[in-house]
Amino acid sequence: MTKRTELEHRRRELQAAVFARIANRALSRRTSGFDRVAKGLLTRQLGGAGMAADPELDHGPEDPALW
Amino acid sequence: MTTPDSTMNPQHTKYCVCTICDIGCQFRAVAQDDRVVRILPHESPALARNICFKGTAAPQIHNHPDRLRVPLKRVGARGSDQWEEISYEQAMDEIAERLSSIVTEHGPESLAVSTSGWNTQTTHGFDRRFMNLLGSPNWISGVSLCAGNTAAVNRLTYGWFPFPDLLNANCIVLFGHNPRKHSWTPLFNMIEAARDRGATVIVLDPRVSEQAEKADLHLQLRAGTDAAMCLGWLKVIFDEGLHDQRFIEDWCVGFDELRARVDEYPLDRVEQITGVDRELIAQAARIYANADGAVIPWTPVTDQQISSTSAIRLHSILRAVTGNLDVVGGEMFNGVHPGWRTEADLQLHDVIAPEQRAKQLGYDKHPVYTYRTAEMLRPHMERVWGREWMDQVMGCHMANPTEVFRAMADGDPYPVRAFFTLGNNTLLSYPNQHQVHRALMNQELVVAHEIFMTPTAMLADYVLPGDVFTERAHIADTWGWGNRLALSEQVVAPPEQASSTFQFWTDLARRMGFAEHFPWDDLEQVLDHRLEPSGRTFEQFASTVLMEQAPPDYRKYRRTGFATPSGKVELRSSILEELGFDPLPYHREGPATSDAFPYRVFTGVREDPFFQTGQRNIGVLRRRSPSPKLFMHPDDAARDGLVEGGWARLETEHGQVVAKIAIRPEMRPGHVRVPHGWWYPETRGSLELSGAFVSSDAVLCSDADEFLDHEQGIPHFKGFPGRLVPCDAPAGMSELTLEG
Repeated sequence: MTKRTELEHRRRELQAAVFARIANRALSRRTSGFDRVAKGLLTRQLGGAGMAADPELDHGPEDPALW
Repeated sequence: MTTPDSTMNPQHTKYCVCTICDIGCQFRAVAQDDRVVRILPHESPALARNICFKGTAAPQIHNHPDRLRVPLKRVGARGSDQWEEISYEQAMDEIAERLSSIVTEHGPESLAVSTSGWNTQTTHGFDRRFMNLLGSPNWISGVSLCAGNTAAVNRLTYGWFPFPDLLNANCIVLFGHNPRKHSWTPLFNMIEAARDRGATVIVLDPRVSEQAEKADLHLQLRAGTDAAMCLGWLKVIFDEGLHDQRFIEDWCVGFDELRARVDEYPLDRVEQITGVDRELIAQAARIYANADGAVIPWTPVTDQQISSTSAIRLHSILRAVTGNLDVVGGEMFNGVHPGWRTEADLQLHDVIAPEQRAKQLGYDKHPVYTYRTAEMLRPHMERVWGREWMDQVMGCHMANPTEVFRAMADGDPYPVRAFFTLGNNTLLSYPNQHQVHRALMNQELVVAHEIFMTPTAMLADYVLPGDVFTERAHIADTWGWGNRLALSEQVVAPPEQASSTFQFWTDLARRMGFAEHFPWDDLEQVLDHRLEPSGRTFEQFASTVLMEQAPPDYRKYRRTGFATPSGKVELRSSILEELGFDPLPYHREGPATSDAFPYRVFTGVREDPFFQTGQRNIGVLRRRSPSPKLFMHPDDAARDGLVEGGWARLETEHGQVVAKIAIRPEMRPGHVRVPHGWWYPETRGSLELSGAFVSSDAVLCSDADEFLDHEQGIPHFKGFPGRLVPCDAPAGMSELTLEG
């Protein structure tokens, strides 16, 4: 950390600011214009919204005879 | 229950912020015929993995047949669990009348309130608003032991509780914290992502936790020695010149005094205290200090030690002297979302008279997270953050729980005679459970606001049915820690007479003469008010936003300074000095083990299927962990004749509980790990208070003055002496508990 120059600080801060703007648009409910572009960018970067079905998240029925 | 039926009415899907634990995952809830039938991951790839099996059990929890649906009034002896159903209006009328009478006789400070904001979610600061109008400063919460106190202590050093920039960090240090796929899930996912892009992870934990298994470096320190470890890291950093000299010169005060204190902790001494090899300590310190962006995320472990204030301060100091404050990849000072009113903005802390604030229990003895310290920070908070009262993670002007329970039990220093508990199973949530029990039994009025009958609610005069997150609209704001606003939509109506804590406080306030200060009739009006600075209504927000964050603004201190008396990072704390404490951090040894009590017991540990004391009555979660388990090393088990799955009694000088033995080679020898918050809802009617004293870790830990952190009054949960004795299974347990 002590090795980061002022220029490097500023470059990273700009990059983070741009990312934050894209993230807000990607997490809006709008699906047109720049928001659509942002959602597409995020999807490409993170590999799509679809998460493989995870059996760990599934539950059987609540069993009244449990107790 | 979870399978939608196509012959019924159409399903609809809404976005929610989960409150089954405290981390606030965003996902979708599917409802049909006014019942939540399924939880789905968020459709955005940024949020889709933030879901755990507690969250997907929301339909089982929210539709559970044991949900409280109508107000209850006690008809038998306190704690006998005998009730009559009454109307909400009758309950509120009687509560207001009885509270008025108590306040008239004993003063407003005779009301104490304990709540858990993540469970109730929609209080909007109205508990403190009501209390401030009434004149009571005695508000307590579990956040005094977990994150809220960290926020308050962080403010001593640099006037804010920073948020780790895990998206950009290159080194992550976990002090005993163990985020997993099903606990602190978003944090777990961010750590995994950081690891994938090459970040180094350092774990300090007495056991080989899940995070420790995957860590680049694991320091298996003795429980409760975090402060000494940090002093050792600073010794290495200063001796080897790894600190950010420029930042220290420009923005820190007290470096020379700190350095002198650090010199009292050479590595051989730190090795002796922590039990970790000095070379490993030095290696970890070098990696942290040399990383281009490093974070020490909040940890519940450092929160709960006899040197907690010093250890939390040392995390702050490490962040500062390595140049990691408010930089990309470091610890961000997010500030408040500019379009949003925080809970503190609504709490009316200027309305309560200063002399009433000074009556806050803990104000004199353990002041760090009380009004006393918040008052000292007021002008500095105003200068930097534009508001005098800032309450991060609800924790910056609380009463001390131990002091409150003493006042409730013994009337010392003054009587507390009315106690409200909201979304907070108080009896099992604080140390010295027997004292908490005495305190509750000694009240004239106890009111519980809960979704299920808990051991604490069983001790109440009135139990009001609470709502859950799918039954109300909300905007989650991380309680002033981050500056994110996340939408949570109402999916279904609450059952019968269940309602939010917003409704409770509003209805009580209007009955007690404070109607003009509670003008909002429903939650949407409150959300409109909170969004007013943004020029949007809730309806407008909900129609456009799922989540938004204020634009990042790094290194703000260059414009504003820090919100401390000096305007700089106070390595030597002027506030602690003024309060009469050591202004420099130190290590203080916890209670010693002995031949009679040879183990170091650490409690307060979270298990995946449960959050705090909740969910033991939810079958689909309970089946994943049917009984409480004490983790111990195989050598220790062999010596004491303990076997895997056998029952044992864990005894301390303060109390005893029973649980099953789980032999784990990854445990550090001589240590016993105890899960938090166990009781047995299935034994209601057969065991006293549903087995609240059988396995609850709150029974074990003393809150006597000699075992408390000086500055905050935090008990030493991480490494107090105990012993294990084989025993029979306790009477009255279900087959599932016995077999699981």
